[in-house]
Amino acid sequence: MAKILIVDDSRTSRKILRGILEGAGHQIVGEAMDGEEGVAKYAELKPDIVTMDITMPKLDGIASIKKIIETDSKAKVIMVTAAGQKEKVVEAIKIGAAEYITKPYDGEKLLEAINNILK
Amino acid sequence: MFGTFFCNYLERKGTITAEQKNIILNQLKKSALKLGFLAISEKMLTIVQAAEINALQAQQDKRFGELAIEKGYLTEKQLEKLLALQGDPYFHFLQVVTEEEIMTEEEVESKFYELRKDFGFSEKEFADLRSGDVEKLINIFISTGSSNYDAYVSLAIRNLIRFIDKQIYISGITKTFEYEAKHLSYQRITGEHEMFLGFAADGEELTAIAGPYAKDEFDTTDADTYDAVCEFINCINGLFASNLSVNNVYVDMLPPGFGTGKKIESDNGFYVVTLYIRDKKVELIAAIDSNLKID
Repeated sequence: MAKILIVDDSRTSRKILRGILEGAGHQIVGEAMDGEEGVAKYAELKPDIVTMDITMPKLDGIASIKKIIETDSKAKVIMVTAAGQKEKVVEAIKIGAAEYITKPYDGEKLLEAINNILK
Repeated sequence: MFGTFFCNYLERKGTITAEQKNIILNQLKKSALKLGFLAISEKMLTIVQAAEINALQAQQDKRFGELAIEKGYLTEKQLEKLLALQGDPYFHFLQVVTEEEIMTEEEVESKFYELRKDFGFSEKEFADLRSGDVEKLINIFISTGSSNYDAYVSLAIRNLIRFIDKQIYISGITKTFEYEAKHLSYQRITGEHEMFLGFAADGEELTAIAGPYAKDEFDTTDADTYDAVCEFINCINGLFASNLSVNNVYVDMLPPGFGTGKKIESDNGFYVVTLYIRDKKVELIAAIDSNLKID
């Protein structure tokens, strides 16, 4: 079981992710609606894993990962992207994202990404 | 999709009522096309012969076709032809409306040809319509003359069918230069192409997209409804961006937007596709390199 922070500006997306993750026995320790809030909540809640949307207002996913990794080089972040954002995925992996998944959500792939990190 | 299209056409023509349409669509979902019905329609069996086989089937654990061959009513070749026709949505429609005593076979046939005339379908388009093949059906309705637009709009429709409702009805597509949306969820794409995709409705109709996509119940068009529709649009745009990247065309998606009383304008024009999802009218708005403005 992992303590997870969900960072996504879409309530629908957060709800779907929460459903999949809680259904698999993980604990959602917090939710953030944009990158700025996500960075602040990471510092406050110290989750095992963060799911991070790429396209967000205020601070986007890439900038948010950078800030999180700067403060905690061992942070485990799963990028959540729509299909067709290959360049951003590559950029995210380069700056330290551990895994990535694409929308529409595939529960199995998300849980597989979590398990890979927990190994 | 064929059933929905034909039912909506018949309802608009006043041939069937809304209640009858619901009965037909319900039965199309629940039932399968029977080989016996098909054999009678194709004049390979008489009604008496089909009834005899049905009666034998109640006593023996054998398939309809097997018994018909044993009785010498059908040849192997005829059975093969009937089995190939078993996926034909026209015959399935015919079976449902005649069994429900809503229309006769002759009435269905005559209305089907009237439809061809009304829509001005070519022979190929008419055959495509009858095939029930979703891809072919989309191609019949979505033809803008621009391969980019066709690909963008068709992808959106395919995803509506995949995630929202298999029975959507495409009423038409028009090019326009301005559009006023009472309720709108949208997303812009920037980069090598400037694109826009949105769904608009006058009342609570966006809930017909939000509900199935978020797997939740939505009664009114509120922030959650807009958000769910935006997420759906984001998926469509992501898939389209992915397709473009195969041809080394790169675009970037901006955060989605939504709101009420939005006015969309473009000097180059853009496309509006009128759709009915569970009888709720929703308009899909698509623009590519249109210098589109939204207030």
